[in-house]
Amino acid sequence: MILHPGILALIVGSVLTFAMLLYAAVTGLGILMRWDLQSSSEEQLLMERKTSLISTLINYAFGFQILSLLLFLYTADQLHPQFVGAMCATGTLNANPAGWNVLFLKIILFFASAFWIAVNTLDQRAEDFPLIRPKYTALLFLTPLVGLDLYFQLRYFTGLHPEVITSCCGALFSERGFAIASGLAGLPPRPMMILFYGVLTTNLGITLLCRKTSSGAVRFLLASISVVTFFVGIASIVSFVSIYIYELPSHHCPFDILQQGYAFIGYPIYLTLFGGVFFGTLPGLFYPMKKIATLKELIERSEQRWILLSALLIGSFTALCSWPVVFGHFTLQGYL
Amino acid sequence: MRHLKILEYALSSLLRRKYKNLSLVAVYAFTVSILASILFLTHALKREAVAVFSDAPDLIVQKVSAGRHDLIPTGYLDSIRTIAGVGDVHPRYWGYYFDAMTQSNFTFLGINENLAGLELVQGRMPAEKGECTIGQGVAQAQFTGVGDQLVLIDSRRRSISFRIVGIFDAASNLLSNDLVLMTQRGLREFFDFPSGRATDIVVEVYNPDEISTVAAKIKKMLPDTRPIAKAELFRTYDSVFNWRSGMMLTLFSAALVAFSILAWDKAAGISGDEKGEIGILKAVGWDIADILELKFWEGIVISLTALLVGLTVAFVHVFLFNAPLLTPVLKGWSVLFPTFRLTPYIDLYQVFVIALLTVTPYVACTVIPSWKAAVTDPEMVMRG
Amino acid sequence: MMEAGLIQAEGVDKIYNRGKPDEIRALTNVSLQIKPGEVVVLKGPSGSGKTSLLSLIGCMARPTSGRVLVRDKDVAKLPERFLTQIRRKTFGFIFQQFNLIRKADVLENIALPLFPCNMTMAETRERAEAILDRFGLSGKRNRKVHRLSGGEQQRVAIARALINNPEVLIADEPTAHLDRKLAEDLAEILSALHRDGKTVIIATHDPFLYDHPFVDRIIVMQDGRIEGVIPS
Repeated sequence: MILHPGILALIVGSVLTFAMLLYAAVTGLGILMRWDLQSSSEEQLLMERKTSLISTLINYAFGFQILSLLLFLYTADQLHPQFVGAMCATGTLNANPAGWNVLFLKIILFFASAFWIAVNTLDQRAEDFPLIRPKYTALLFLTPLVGLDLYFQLRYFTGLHPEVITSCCGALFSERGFAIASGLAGLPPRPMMILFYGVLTTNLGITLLCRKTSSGAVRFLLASISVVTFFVGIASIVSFVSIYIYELPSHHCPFDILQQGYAFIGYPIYLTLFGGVFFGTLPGLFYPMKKIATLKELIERSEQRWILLSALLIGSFTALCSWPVVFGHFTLQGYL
Repeated sequence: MRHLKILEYALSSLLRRKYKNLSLVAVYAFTVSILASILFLTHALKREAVAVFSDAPDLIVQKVSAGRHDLIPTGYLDSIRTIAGVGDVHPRYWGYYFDAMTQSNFTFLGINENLAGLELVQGRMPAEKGECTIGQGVAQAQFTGVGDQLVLIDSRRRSISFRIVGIFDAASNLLSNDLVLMTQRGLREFFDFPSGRATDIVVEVYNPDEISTVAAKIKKMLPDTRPIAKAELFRTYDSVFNWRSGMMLTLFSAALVAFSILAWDKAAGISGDEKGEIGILKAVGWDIADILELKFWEGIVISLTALLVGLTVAFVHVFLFNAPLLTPVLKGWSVLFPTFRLTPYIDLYQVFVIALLTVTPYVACTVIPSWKAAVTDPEMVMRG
Repeated sequence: MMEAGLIQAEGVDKIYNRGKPDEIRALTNVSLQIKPGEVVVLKGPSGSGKTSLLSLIGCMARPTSGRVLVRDKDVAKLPERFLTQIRRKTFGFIFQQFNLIRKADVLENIALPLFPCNMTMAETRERAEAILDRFGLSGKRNRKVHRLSGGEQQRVAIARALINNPEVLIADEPTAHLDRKLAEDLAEILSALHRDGKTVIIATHDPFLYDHPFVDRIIVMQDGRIEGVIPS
C-alpha cells in the first residue's frame, strides 16, 4: 500500500459517501415499505420530508463522485514515477488489475447517479410522487455500486507496491520481467477517424430528427446512438485525438490531456462528451414514463431542452476533437 | 437568480451569528492549516531533493560487502568499460565527516572534471591538495570565509588544515549546504583510502533506454556490486516522501475527527434563535429545498473561508518560518532537514487534496442536522 | 365562474399527534366557504381551533381528513413544496407575534418572502422599496428591527405580508400585543386592503376587531367546531 495524501483523501471521501448512501438507502427502504400517499398521517408527512434528505444526500454524493473521479486520475498521474515503465496515469492504472475496475466503476457511477438525479428532479416536480417506488428501488442498486467502488479502491491501493531500492540491489533487477505496459494500444487512426465522423454525424442527424417528431422509436434510436457515441468518442480520443494533441505518434494516454501542459483541453473534451451522451439518452429513457399522466407534460417540456443540450454538447465535442486535427502542426503522414 | 439571493441571505445570516461561526471557522482553519503544512512541507522537501538528483549521474555502481556499502576496487572500472553502450566511467571519492566542535555532519567530495550544477561559487574551485571549497552551511557553522583555514581532525587524530578558496552561495541547495569540496588526492589522504579503492563508480550510458540493460550486465559481471539508476533514486525518494506525508496525515487525522465532531455539534446544536428564524422563513414561503440551499451556501462560505485562511497560515508557517511546529515531528529527517528557506511553491493538486480531505467530512457531518433544521414546521410560527 | 368561492373547506378534521398519548383533536368536521373580497372573522376563545383552521386555509399544514380547496384546487393531499408555492403566491400572513428576524435590517425582513422567488436582485429591492414607501418606513430601511418601536415593527410585519401582493391576507390575533392606538392603525390598514379588493381572514377574540364595520362575516368557533355564522 502506498500511503499517499491523495489516496487518503480518496478513501476518506469514499467511506463517507458510502455511509451517506447507506443512510439514504435505509431511509429509502423504510419509505418504500410504508409509503401511502392517501394517508394524512404525520408518519407520511415525515416520509415526504425525508425524500428531501435523500435527494440532498445523493446530490452531495454525486458531487463527490465527480471530484473523486478527477482526484483518482490526478493521483494515478502523480504516482506514475513509482512504477517502472509507467509514463503517465495509464501506467499506474496498469500496475494492478483493480485500477481499471475503479475507473470503469466511477464512470458507471457518474452516469447512474446522473440518471437518478434526473429522475428525482422530474419526480419532485410532479404533485403525486409518481416515481417514488422505481426511484428508491434503484437506490437500493446504486448503493452497493458505491460500496463496490470503495472495495475496488481499497484493493487497488493496497495492491500497489512502489518499486524502491532495497538493501541488496536496485528494484529494477530484483523484479525483472515485471514492467508495466506503459500505454494503451490505440486502434488505427485512419479507420477510427472515418468511424468517428460517421457516428457523430448520425448522432447529430437523429438529434435534429428528434426535434421534429415525437416518435418514441426516434428517441430510442437517439439513446442507442448516444451510447455508441460514448464508446466511439473514448476510442477516438485514445486512437487519434490524443496523438494530435500531444503531437507524438505513439502517445495514446487519454488522461494527460487533463494536465496543464495541454492547456486543460481534456476537461472541455470529456465534459462535452459525457454531457452530450447523458442528455442524448434522457429522451429515450423517459419516453416510457410519458404514460404517467402527471409526468407527460413535464417530460415533453424538458425533452426539448435535453435534445438541444445534447446537440450543442456533441457538436462542441466534435469541434474540440477536430481542432488539433485540422489546425495542428502535426500530421500523421508516414504513420498511417 | 434565486440562488444568488439565497447566497446573499446566507451571508447576512452568518454575519448575524458572527461569534459562533468565527469559532467554527477558526477550528476548521486550524485543521486545514495542520494538514496543509504537512503537505506543503513534504512537497517542498521532495522538490528540493528532486532538484538535487536531477544533476545526479544516470547510473552509480556501489560495492556491497557483508550487506553493507563498501569501497569499490578501481579495477572494476575496466570491466565496466567493456560493456557495449557505456560511455565515460569514472570513480567518485566522497565521505561523511562529523565535526565534534560544531556537532554537525559535513559531506566531503573529491572534485573531478565533470561536476555540473555546482558552479555557483564565490571564489574558485580547489586546485591543489591543501585547498577546499565549502558550502554556506559549513561556512556559517565554522564562522569562516574565503582565505581562512578550515581545520579538520583525521582518523589518526591529526589536525589537518585546508585553505578555503571558495564558498557555494546557492542558498537553497541541499547538495551544497553541508559540502566540503577538495581535490581527490586531498580527500583520499585525509580519509586514508586504501589504494585502488574509490567510494563508488559513475557510469555514463549513451541511450537512456539501455540503462537497465547495462545495469543488469554489470550485476551479472560483478556480482558483489549494486548498480543504482537515477530513476530509482527518484522513485525511492518520491515513495519515502509520500509515505512520510501520508503517515503524518494519518497521525493528524485525529484533528480531522475532532473537527468533524465539532462541526456536527455546531450544526446539530442549532440555537433557539436560529430555529425561530428558520421557522419564520418557512412561514413566509421558503421551501425545504430553499432552506437546504441556504445551509449549503452557509457551508460553502464557511468551508472556503476556512480553506483560504488555513492555506495561508500553512503557507506562512512552512515557507516564511520553516515549519517550526512540525520540526519536532520530523526529527528523523534531521540529515535532510535544511536550515535554509524552502522555495515557496503551491501545487494545485495539493490544494485539491486538502480541500477534499477537509470539506467532505464537514459536508457529511452537517447534512443531516441541516435537514432537521429545514423541516421545521412552518405552523410552529403560528403557535408562537 | 366565481360561485365556488376562493377558499373552501369540506368536512375538515385536524388531529395532532394522532395515536399518541398527547393526541389533540383541534378541528372536527369544519366546513366553510370564503368568497373573494370578503372580510371574515374567526371568533372564539383560545383553544377553539381558530389558529388550526387558519393554518389549514393558509396552506401551512394539511388536514387529517376532509378537503381544503384553494381556487378549486384540492390542497389536502399536496406535497409540502406545492403547498409552499401556493402559500407564497396566494397568502400573506400577519402573526400574533411580529415574527421578524430581530437582528436583520428592515429591508431584508420585508424582502424575505421574495428570496426564494425567481426575480432579480434589483427587482426584489425595487418591490421592497416601494412597499417601504407605502408604509412610511423608507427612512428606516437599514435600521435593525430590534431597534424599532412596536408600531414600526408592526408596520414592517404587515409590509412583509403584502410584498408578494397576495390575494388573501391572514391575520392571527393581530391586536393581541398592541395598544389601542396601534390596533386602530391596524384596522385602518386592513380596511384599506379591503377597499382594494383583498380577501381578509382574521382570527381574534378582540371585540374592537370583530365589531369593526369592515367585517363582512363572523364565524364563531368553539371546541374545534363552527358554532354559528353571524352576517354583520
